[in-house]
Amino acid sequence: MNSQKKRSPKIEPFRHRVDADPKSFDKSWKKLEDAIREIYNHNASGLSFEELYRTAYNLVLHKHGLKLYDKLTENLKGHLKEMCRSIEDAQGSLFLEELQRRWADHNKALQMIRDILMYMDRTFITTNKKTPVFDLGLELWRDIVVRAPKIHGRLLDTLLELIHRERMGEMINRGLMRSTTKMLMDLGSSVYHDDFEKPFLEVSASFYSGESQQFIECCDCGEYLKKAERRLAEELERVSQYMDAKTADKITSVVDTEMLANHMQRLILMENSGLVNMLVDDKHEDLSRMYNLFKRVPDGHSTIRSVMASHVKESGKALVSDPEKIKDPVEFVQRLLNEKDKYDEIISISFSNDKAFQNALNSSFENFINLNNRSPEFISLFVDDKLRKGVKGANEEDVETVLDKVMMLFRYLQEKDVFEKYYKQHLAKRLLSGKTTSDEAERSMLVKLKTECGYQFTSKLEGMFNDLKTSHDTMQSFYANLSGDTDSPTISVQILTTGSWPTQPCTPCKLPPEIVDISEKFRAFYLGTHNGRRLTWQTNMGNADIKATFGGRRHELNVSTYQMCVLMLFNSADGLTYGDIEQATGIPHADLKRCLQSLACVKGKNVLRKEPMSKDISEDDTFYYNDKFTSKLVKVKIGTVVAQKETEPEKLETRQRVEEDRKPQIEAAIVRIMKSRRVLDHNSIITEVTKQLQSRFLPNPVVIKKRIESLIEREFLERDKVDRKMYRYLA
Amino acid sequence: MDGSTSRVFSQAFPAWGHLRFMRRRELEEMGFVRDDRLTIECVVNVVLDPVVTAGDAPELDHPPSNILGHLAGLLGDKGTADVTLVVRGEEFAAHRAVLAMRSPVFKAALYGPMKESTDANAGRVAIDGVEPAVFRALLHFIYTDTTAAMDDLDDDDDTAQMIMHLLEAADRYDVERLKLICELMLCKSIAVDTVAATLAMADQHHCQKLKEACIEFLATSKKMEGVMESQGYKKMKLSCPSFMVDLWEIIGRKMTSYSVIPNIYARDKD
Repeated sequence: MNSQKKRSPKIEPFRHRVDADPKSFDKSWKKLEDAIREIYNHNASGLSFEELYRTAYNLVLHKHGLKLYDKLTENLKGHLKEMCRSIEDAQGSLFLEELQRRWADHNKALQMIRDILMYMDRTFITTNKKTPVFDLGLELWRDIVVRAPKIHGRLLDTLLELIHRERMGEMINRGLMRSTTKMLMDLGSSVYHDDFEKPFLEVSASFYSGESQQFIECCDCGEYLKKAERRLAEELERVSQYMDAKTADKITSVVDTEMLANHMQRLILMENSGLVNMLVDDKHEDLSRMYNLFKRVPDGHSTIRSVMASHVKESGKALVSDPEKIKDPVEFVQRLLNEKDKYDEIISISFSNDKAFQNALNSSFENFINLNNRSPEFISLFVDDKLRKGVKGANEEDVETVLDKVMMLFRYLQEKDVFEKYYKQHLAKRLLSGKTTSDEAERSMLVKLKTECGYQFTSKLEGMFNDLKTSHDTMQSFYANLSGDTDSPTISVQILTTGSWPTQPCTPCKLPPEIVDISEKFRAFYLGTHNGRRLTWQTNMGNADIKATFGGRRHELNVSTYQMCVLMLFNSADGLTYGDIEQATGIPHADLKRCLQSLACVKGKNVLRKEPMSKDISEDDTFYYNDKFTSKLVKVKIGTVVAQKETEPEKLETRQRVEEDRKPQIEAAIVRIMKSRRVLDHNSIITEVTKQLQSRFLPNPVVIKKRIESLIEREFLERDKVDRKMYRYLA
Repeated sequence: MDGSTSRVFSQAFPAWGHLRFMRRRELEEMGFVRDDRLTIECVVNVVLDPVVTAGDAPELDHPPSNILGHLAGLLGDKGTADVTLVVRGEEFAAHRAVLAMRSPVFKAALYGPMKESTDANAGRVAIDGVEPAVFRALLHFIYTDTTAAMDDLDDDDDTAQMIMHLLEAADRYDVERLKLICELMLCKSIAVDTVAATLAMADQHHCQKLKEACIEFLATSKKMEGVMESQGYKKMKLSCPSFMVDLWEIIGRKMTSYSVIPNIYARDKD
């Protein structure tokens, strides 16, 4: 619509700005100078922003940027010098307050000045790479006020003094502290660092050095650690309240070094209150504290670990070597379990289940358990005891727990094959005497051993269980087939597969005629169904129930087979000499002595009378049927005097057998290794064999050497012609 | 054992079961075993991801943004205005927040601690050194982000002047986009008789692109004589001789690469 065009008032032609008046700069500057003064006097509300901005804008437009900048700098310096004086004049505690007040004033003023000079900031300063107005203001404050000779030192001293007072328990003005440190941070992180943080850390270091020395003279370990913990918390709180967050790590590292690292050894090893005492007394809270504090210090944890490990080794060593303590194997193992429980608890509660600590504990246990070479035997006896008697007041799960804990001890054993031997013996005794409380528990234990050591370990043991089951079935079919003859004594036979059971060779004794009859019937029956097998009566095991009458009272005696043979003789004679008995029964000497001892010399069980009445059996003794025998019970059990623990000769014998068994295992390992490697040197063979067999036992290098030589003799291996240390496999 | 329990298999619970084996004795006593067989029946429900098919749902167009329209509506709205800008007698109603949002200079003025931010003068602020028409165009840009107001002027010369004034205002009040737009418009309309003045203004107000465009123009055109004849050039020589020296140096460097006859130097001996 052109006809009705809005003819806006004609705009003036654009004129290039020219600064004709030389005095115009001074006039303009005066305006700005006055305005700045008013601003510093808190009179800004009367000023017109528009006017001041325009003034500055025009100055820059007319190329007076540099002059303006320089004038501004001078002007600011002047105001700051004034402020400086008033701060210096402040007395005592008013010093910081005055500094803060002036700083706040300066900040506010700077903002306004920056706004007024925005045009200069945007154009002149960027092109000429000068410091922007606000930053200029901060720099001038830093150089003229903070670093003024009369202020600089005083400021730092005041801050440090206040911090010291707070450390000693006084309350200080934290708000003032905060705004002061914030001021330093605003001036630049290097100002904060150089003018405050660095000296602060130095002073703190010497403070804590002194304090820690003082504490350690008068406190015990637990108390000292409590104090250190408190100081650490305090410092962190202090930093969060009025310092830059980055100072936190630095100050805590100072405290760590002065209070903890420098005194670590002394604290941990302190008499009567150090780590060892805490462990012994189960001081969980103190241990927790120690663990957490020494986490912060280099080598803190490794020192604790090694002190703990050597303590465990020492106390463990004392435990396994104390002759009092090893008298009762069950007690012995129970103590070991208790010790393990104790330390497991400590590690779980105080050391937050730290794996490294668990490993240290394991290796200590492994170390001292194997110092006593009867450990495998005792552990087996412990299990035997539990399976015979059951765990007191326990249900299935508790039994499981106990067995699991025992398995942990088992893992520490180096001579697992020794354990195997003993376990077999004990298991056989349990099974044959029917003395196990829970079939489930037996099976469970077997499963655990199989998991731990593999099938080979437990195959024979399982065979034992199977034998019993088979025997049971065989007996049932025997009696089903047997006809008539209800007069003969009832027998129950357990057929043991040779090789599965740890039996000692035994020449059968002479059985009483009543027994011979039925036993031969059984033999015929069995061999009838199982061709090609051979049965040998193991008369050193087995037991019998005999009906006997003493002085009118009827009793039922439960005795061993040997004892039965002896007692049956008295059916046809009242008195017999030792020699008579020996000849009639054919029982070996040692066994016969023990047998007679239990029949005649045990109080309450003396069904035979011995002449002379002495404790020991000699070959001149005579024995009589004792009709004066009484007992409250109808059923009397007469056990044989038998030691649960092995006697010395028995122990030696077992060990010998173990050594014998090891020889073929070592040889098998050597052959296996050589077959795959073909050629190998002596030391490597030793290493490899040890590695292969370590799950069962620790082979002796001397024994390995002997086995190698034996294999060479049997032409499995040969020595290398050139290098005497190398061996070659002969296919 | 439960008769029927339902369990949910998921990533968190991929398997269910009992911790321990059951005793054979117990199982047999329960009577579940028949003919030496135990039958376990499980019903499995498989939950598939829902399949989304394009249905007959009505199409919903994403509505376009209309904030600019609303903002433009505020321009001159006296009802909501909270400040009056007085430019050489002419009054403009405006909104503090909008002005502050678009210009840091207005923000400092209207929200700072000085006079303009208080209601001392009944919310009136005096603006000096700008013409009302130019200020109107500035306000228009602030509220609408466009330079449409200038189409009213049909005189080319006027338009050029207006653009120059507007550029100056934009520079003063730091409305960057407006400044750049003016620059571009001026770049397009460089002429022999205006190039000198344009160049001087570009230098004064730090318009890098415009400056370069002018120099380009001077260096490549063969109309140096025409330029030097122009009023603008003569005025510039008076007002900022130092700039002239800089200028000729820059041009000299450019010229050697463009190989224009250097007899211009001979003529500039005033």
